[in-house]
Amino acid sequence: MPVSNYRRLTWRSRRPTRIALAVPRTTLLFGDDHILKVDSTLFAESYKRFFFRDIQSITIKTNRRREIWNIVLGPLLAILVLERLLDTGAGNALAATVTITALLSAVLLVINNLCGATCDVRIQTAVQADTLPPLSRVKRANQALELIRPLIIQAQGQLTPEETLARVRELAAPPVPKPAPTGPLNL
Amino acid sequence: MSSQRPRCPECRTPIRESEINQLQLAPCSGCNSLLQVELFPAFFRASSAGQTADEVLLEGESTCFYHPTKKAVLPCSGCGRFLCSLCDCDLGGNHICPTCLEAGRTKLKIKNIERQRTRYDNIALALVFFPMILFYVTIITAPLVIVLTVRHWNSPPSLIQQTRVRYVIAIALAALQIVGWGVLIVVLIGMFYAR
Repeated sequence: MPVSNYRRLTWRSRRPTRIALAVPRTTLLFGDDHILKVDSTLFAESYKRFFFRDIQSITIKTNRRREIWNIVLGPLLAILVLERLLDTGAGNALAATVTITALLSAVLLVINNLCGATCDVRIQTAVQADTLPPLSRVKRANQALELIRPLIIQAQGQLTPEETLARVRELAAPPVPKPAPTGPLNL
Repeated sequence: MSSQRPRCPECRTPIRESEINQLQLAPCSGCNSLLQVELFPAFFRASSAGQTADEVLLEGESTCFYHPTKKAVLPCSGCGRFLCSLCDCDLGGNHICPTCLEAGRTKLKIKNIERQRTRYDNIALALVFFPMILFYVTIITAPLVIVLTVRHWNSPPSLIQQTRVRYVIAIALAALQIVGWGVLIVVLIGMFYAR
């Protein structure tokens, strides 16, 4: 596989959950005609390809990950700051530890909120549907879509908004029932 | 084409027409999750039925190598065997047989069908670092690392980290471990004879 043909879709790799280190880390690359999803564990990589001509839909749905991190980091920061303010008799080592942890929590809290809303991105083709974990922020997901949208349009063409609407309405319309077959004498 | 309307991945409510291809988040009518849905022409494309192979009708007609009763439609680009439409695997304009497809996949000769790679560089690094917890194991693992690294030096690297830096680090550390063991053994022998 020629490695030089691939470019990173995002510079970020991500595990679907940060807790279990055994869960593969996912990286997104894209080539001339497909997106490559690489799931890496310590000793192996597995690949999944989504060809631009086959991509049916990409869905971005916000989730509550940012709020959850705010709920975790906010009270932690508050407790650490309170402890630092109240416990003036603490030794240098403890004070330093509390201060560093509080600063770290504050930085993470600010970054979490500056990066914007978190989301799950789902890509669908005719034979598979999958999530793209590295596109975990709405802003990053839209930046990635800006990169690949022209490639998808180049591979598939583009429908006008009116054509898209008409096709969706066709799908929504109830199926026309077939007439029941009748014999020569309808007795 | 997909026979179903696009649906919210959370609550499976059909997505409203006004929410499709808007390039901005809009609340789902079912669960109020913010959604941005983009449909492409492939969503509406009708899926074509698979081809069936024709039976041989006339004496002397070319037959498929794998199905002697089926009519051959084209030769394999890889091995030249005649193929029926069932055996024809179309890979971006190249028509090959299932045997060549599998061979291409296992020998990495065909683009875009490789499904996984082993990270021998990470295995070598792990064999160098982890045995140092019980250092005496390194007398076995250090030579193993060098053999592994030499054996897989030209194996396809990771698509994400495409350098051989990890191999170099593994060989350097393994060599240090071997030298360390050599020095230790010489010192122990010297001490033994000095008594």
